[in-house]
Amino acid sequence: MMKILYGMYPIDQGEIFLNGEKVDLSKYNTHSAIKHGIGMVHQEFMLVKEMTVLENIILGVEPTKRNSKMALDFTAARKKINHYIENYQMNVHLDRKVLNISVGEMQRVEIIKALYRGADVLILDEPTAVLTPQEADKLFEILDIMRKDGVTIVFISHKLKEVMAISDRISVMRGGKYVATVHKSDTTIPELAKMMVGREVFLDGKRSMVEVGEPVLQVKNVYVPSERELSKNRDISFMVRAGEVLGVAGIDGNGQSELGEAIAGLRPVEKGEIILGDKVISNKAPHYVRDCGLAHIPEDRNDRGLNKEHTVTYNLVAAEIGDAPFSKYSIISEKEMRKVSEERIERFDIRPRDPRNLAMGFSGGNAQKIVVARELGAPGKKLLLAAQPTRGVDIGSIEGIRRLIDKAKREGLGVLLISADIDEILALSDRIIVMYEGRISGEVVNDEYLTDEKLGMLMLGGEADAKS
Amino acid sequence: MLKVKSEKFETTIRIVLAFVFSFVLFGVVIAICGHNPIDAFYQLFRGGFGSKFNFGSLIEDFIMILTIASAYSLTRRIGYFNLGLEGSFYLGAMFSAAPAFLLPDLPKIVIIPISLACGFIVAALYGSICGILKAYYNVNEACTTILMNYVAMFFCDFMINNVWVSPGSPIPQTPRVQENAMFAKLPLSPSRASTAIFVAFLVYIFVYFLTFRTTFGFKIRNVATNARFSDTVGMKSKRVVLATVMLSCGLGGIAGGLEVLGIYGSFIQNFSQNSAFQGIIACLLVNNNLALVPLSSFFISFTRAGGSGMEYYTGISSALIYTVTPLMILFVSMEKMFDYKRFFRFVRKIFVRNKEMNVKE
Amino acid sequence: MLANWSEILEKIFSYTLIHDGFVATVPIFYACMCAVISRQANIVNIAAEGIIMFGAFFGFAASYFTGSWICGVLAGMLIGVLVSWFMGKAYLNYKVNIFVVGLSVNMIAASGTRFLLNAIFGANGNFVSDKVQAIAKVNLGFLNKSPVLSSLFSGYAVTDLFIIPLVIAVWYMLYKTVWGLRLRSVGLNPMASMTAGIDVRKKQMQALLLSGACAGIGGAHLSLGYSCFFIEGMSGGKGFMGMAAMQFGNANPLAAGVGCVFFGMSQSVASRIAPWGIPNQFVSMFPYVATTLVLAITVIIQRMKRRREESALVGKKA
Repeated sequence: MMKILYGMYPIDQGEIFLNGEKVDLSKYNTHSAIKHGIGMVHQEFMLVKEMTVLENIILGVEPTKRNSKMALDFTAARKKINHYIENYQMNVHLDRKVLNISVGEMQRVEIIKALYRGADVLILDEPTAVLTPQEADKLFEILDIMRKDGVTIVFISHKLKEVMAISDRISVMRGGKYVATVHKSDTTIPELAKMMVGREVFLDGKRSMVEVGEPVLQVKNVYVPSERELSKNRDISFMVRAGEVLGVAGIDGNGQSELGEAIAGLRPVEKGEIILGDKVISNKAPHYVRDCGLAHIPEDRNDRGLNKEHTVTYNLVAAEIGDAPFSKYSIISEKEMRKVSEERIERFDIRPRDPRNLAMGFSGGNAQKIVVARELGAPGKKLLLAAQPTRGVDIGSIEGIRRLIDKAKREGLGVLLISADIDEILALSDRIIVMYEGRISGEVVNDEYLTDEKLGMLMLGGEADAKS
Repeated sequence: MLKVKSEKFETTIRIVLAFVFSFVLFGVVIAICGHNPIDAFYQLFRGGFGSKFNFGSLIEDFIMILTIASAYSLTRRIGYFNLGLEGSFYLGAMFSAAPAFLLPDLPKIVIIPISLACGFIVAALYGSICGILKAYYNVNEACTTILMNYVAMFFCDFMINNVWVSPGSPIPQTPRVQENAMFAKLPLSPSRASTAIFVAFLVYIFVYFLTFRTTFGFKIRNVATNARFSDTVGMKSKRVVLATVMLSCGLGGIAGGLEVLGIYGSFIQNFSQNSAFQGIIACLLVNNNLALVPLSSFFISFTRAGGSGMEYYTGISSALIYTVTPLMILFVSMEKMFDYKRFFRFVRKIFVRNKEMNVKE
Repeated sequence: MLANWSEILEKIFSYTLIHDGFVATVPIFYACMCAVISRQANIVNIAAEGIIMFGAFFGFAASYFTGSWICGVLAGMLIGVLVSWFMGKAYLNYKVNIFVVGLSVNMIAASGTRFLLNAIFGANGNFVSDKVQAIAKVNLGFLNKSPVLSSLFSGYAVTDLFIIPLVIAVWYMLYKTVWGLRLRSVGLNPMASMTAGIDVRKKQMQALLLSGACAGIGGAHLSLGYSCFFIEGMSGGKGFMGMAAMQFGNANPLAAGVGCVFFGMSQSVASRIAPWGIPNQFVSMFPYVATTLVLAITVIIQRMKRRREESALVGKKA
């Protein structure tokens, strides 16, 4: 949404008013957004890592020396930037390279960058997601001074505490739709949490109750590295039993993806161990993990889940290509591949039916069904790791895919369901763990006593006990 | 729904159009130079097929080019720009020669495989240096392979000047290999075309079979299009890249071995003159469509043999045809250059407009 | 024996080595600047070799027909820009793999110049003519009294000396001007440059054209200044050496310049060693091995550093 305002995506419909003027939308792009005084601090920093802070700030609007159009005037730039630094007490080293500074400092650089371009509306997208609490406090101080200076700040966040701390007015959005705007003084954190989580039930399918069996997956005190500070898994422990769905809830970027990748063997485990069945699978190759009985629906269907340039057949058998009947003595049999894929297409209702189609032509729902068919169609699976299984899938297919997950549970598989969609977690899971900043903030049983508020509070940092 | 076929069709169309366009250009340049293009084409053919000797020298080139092109095709598929083939060509040639003059006399059936295997292993190890840097550390292969090529060439130069010296020969070279290690000649004398051509075809069939019929080939094709997907479904993409590069370089080494054991009988200084690049051209010319590689290899060797024939009979420098072939590669690789769909649309538009005009009249 | 060795070493490492080494380095320098400029825009340009060939031929031909070396150098530069423009079109507009483009240009250059030499001058392989004016040499007469000083500072071609301001100019352009700052940002992070309102494709095209001009001048220097004849394949891997030197200096023109000197010097040392029957190949090989090692070690250190940063065991709340 905010990327639209910054002109990075085109606008389909509607109007934008800035300072009371209507903006010409047909020509709206990043350039004119900057000209209208909008500055944005992206979640992913748009900085050139190998260049110095100073160079990054002036990039695109460089001051030049008098009598010259080419020569850079670093002194003038420095003077202007120092003005901002002193004004807002931002601690920034102008001569260091960006790759040598901390994340918090990078963010301050982004803010200065926006101010340097003359922004009077500053959009911050999840600014605290990458910060330590101390750095976040510092940021709030800076933002407070800026507000007093008359800068408009749009602060996008999942963290209600922060929103309450900094904002005057709060707009709630859910699933791409506007919900409500409230004044800070008129609301409380639990109220906001309810608005944010808010349940839309469109799936009636009750989850089935199955006798729970032996543990299939045990995660013991696991530490997993990550590029982002808050996504690093620290001291994660839990267990999934056969015939049970364990939901992993949490706001995106709190370490769930890393956890999934570590279980699938795609990310190293620095400490602790993961046991599948009776075999240790931490720090083992994905192939070994699959042989131990893992079925893995990866988070990003278009990237890890499917090879879009290959046919449906190839996608359906890719994980088992080394096994009979698809290959004997390392020689593959197209005929067997075709036979099995036709059978799987029928069983998992993938449309259109022709196995020779390329995967890139499929709709989100059917493409995801190819992934599910590959993972669940194979025999000998013990654990289904489903990461965001219905993200970007049409409603009809969502139901089908959820039913398949439920069926896997009935057949005696343990299921680990990682999802940012609370409805999905509530619809399918027997137990739920919630991740926050790379740790488990709580574990609950999915029964009639579980409230949205409790779940919401856990997702926002685990003060559930204090509030309820 | 998208199918594989339409894309292949498009590529083929592009190859054919590039071919036609380049040869028209070729003819025009010849005409500008004041020669008869038809005559030049005739001489070109005579240079390639005119006599036993001409055809034989065509085959000589074909052996090497087909082997290199097959080897190159493997790495091209995974998007690795393997210029290192020149280096492995050198090393393969020298280390294929080495057992053949170091070991005592052995029967043909023993010594030739030993020689080729030796060349293969050394060349593959050489390829592994750049392969490891690419697969595990993501170092740009175009840079490292060029550097390593020079290292390989200087190393070979050192060996033939100081260690494996052939005393009394005017050009530095290794001692001559034993007679048994040489491939039997084809009945195309006085050219030096040999039965090594069967090994070249074996290599080609091996690469084709490996790519399209084995699990390893399946992995290569998956890593080529989506490495992260391959990792997820349990193929070790980095290891596949490394193995492919080593295999490709090893086969490049076999090409060198065929050159030495088929033609020269010893490793001679500067015997290659960028030969490996001819093989790379042959592969790029058909956009890495493996089924067409023998054809394009044949075409490249034809231009080499035919070009010198043309030069001899008409006085047009053979360099002209060497200029046209890389130009063809550019045309083949330009995705939107020959957009036949747009062309059809354009044609239809003209027709429709004509019809509308007819109606108006 | 020992005396013999020291005598040989003295002969190799005499003051004339500096003159010879510098002259041998200059063509590499031009190729290197070509590689540096395009690398800064994130284009691995392996076509320096081919552009040098083109520059050498057209520079030579222009000097032949006009009788002026200035025209020769200009022609070399022009053809360099033209070839780069074609490369840019193919790479940026028609999405051809840049290595395929570079390789094709190299091959077209190698055989195309041979063909043109035959078609225009009727010569096969090499050509020398009195009509060709070589690039003027700068002789400092007042130094003639001392052989050492005159060898060190005198008798260089204009284009030999031009390389010094060129390297400084490239460095200044890249690091001290608006144009250079934007170009580098395009090379390092195109996404960030785009959000800062920079036309990425245009910048890459400009970089290609400029690098073509550098290599073109280098080519003209090769056939008119370094020597005064044209011979097929006269670039002899200098383009690739320039690229290797660029790698050595991590695309910084000054550091890459050190790499160039490294390559040029080891070449002349190798050629001086050869007559004594000492294996010279290892000396020639040395800079290539060193560059590969530098490349490998830098990435390995970077990788280790990143792994440390990503670790969950360190950092806050560990």
